[in-house]
Amino acid sequence: MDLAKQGNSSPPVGGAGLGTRGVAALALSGVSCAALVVAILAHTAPAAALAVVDPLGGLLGRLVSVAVPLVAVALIAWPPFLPGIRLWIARMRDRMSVDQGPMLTAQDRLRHLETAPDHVTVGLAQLRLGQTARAIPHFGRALALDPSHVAARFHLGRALLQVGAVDEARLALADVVRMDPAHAFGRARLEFAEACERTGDDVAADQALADHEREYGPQRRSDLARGRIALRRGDRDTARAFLERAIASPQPGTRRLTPDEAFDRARARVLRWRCGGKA
Amino acid sequence: MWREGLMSGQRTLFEQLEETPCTWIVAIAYGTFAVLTDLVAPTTRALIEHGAAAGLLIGDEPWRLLSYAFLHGGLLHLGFNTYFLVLVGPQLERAIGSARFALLYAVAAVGGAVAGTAFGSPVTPLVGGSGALFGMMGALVALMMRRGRTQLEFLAYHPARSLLTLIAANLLLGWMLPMVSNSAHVGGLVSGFILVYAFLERGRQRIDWMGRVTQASFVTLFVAAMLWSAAPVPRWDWQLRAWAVAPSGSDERRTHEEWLRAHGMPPRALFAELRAQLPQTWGPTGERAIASLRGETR
Repeated sequence: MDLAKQGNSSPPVGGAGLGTRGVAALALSGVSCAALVVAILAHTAPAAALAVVDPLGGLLGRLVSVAVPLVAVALIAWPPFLPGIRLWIARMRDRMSVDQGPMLTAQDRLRHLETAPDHVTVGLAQLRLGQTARAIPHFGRALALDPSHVAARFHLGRALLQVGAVDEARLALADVVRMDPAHAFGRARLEFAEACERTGDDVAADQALADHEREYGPQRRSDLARGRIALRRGDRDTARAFLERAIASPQPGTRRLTPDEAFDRARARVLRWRCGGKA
Repeated sequence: MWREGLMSGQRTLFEQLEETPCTWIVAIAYGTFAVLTDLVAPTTRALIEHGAAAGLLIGDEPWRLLSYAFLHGGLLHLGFNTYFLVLVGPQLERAIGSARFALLYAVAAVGGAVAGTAFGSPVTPLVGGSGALFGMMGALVALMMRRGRTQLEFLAYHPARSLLTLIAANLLLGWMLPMVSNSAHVGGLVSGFILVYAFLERGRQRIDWMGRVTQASFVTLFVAAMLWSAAPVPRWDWQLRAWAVAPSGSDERRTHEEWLRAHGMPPRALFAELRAQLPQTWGPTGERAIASLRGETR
């Protein structure tokens, strides 16, 4: 598939799903419709409204007093929960801290003259804002204008991976690794490995991760992925070795783990339990 | 010389009235209602007669959801709210326009009343523009989020941090003082924020279907909350009315009586208590409310 042609055709976002924002919007609409129905019932058939609301109050009371504390304790005890919250907050903060100035300027310029860097600027800002489906055509168009634009290809791969178009993402990221193996300090390799893993090609994923480790040293993300792959092929000892490296405490005096690293470490801890032995 | 320079930068009262009419109309309404109800210490009866909101009255007189926001419970209450209105109102009105400012004031006031009557006692009158003023504070936060280079950029500036501190301090104060309806403050704050953030100040970003669904959901929730405040089925005043209008000896009447008894409010005792208190404190409106509870005016 020639990814450069994507700028002139519909991007493969069919399997994109709703995303968090879509699910939240639909959930809010569901809640608001239910509230409206209950409010209308309160005027037209009060007994029915009371039958809905009265048990709900009791149920909410019981939930708050018993179930909520239990669930809260269970969740807090589950290793990825707190790092997951930290990661979510960091992503929200990142999303709300996107400087839209360069994007708006680039959008203005694009009205008069199309250039690959401007499309990449707009696409990248939209990607950071969480508007992945809107970002993809910009990267595709940038590639149509300049097929050698590695950053456009890399971000297209990332975006496709986010929306679940893993086969296309793998193609794009494979091109990036071939064109510039050191792109984004080797992150292209990590993304490529994730795409391979998600397409079920564990061998290629493991190879990409091993290459990455050789170039940039061990990282929690790659250790977690390699541990997971080893576990899938039944090699528990190797998996345990990778996962132990992924959950190792940071050296004293070194920087604090980033939210992504902390989340990977917590997930590795859960996998390590599955491997057997203490974490 | 300096005086001339200083004065040349100031606007006359008429210029200010022309530029920010809504703020001054609201301020004048505050003053007018304060004079009508008694500037220093208005009685509950005067407040109720001039439009105070109370859960018991909303079903028959829904206009109280807005009118309460122009009444105040005394000189101090009036002074604080007028000071804040005159301080913030003109800037906000200049920023979003007079029509939008009027809409913001009305929506925040209604949001405050809906929350205040939903979580407060149905016989406690609710007065004051503070719900709407909290809505203005929420609107300011939304404006700063929308108009900065990034949504959280405003946190880097001292005035914005002061505004957030002011909101937090006022909410804390409202939580500590028993005569303050903090739920009305929160209702106003949330309504004002959502109105500006989701509807009035969208920035240059295109609204996609998710944005439209979210907007429609907020409108639906607002309408549902207003409808609910007129018929709060699981609240004692609604149950008492339903008990009173149900035919004597019917299953329906028994159900309502059981509900009231289960909540520690036997209907006859409750009626006797209301009949003894409401006409005294609320005057003719109290008598109307009791007649309505007995199903005579509906």
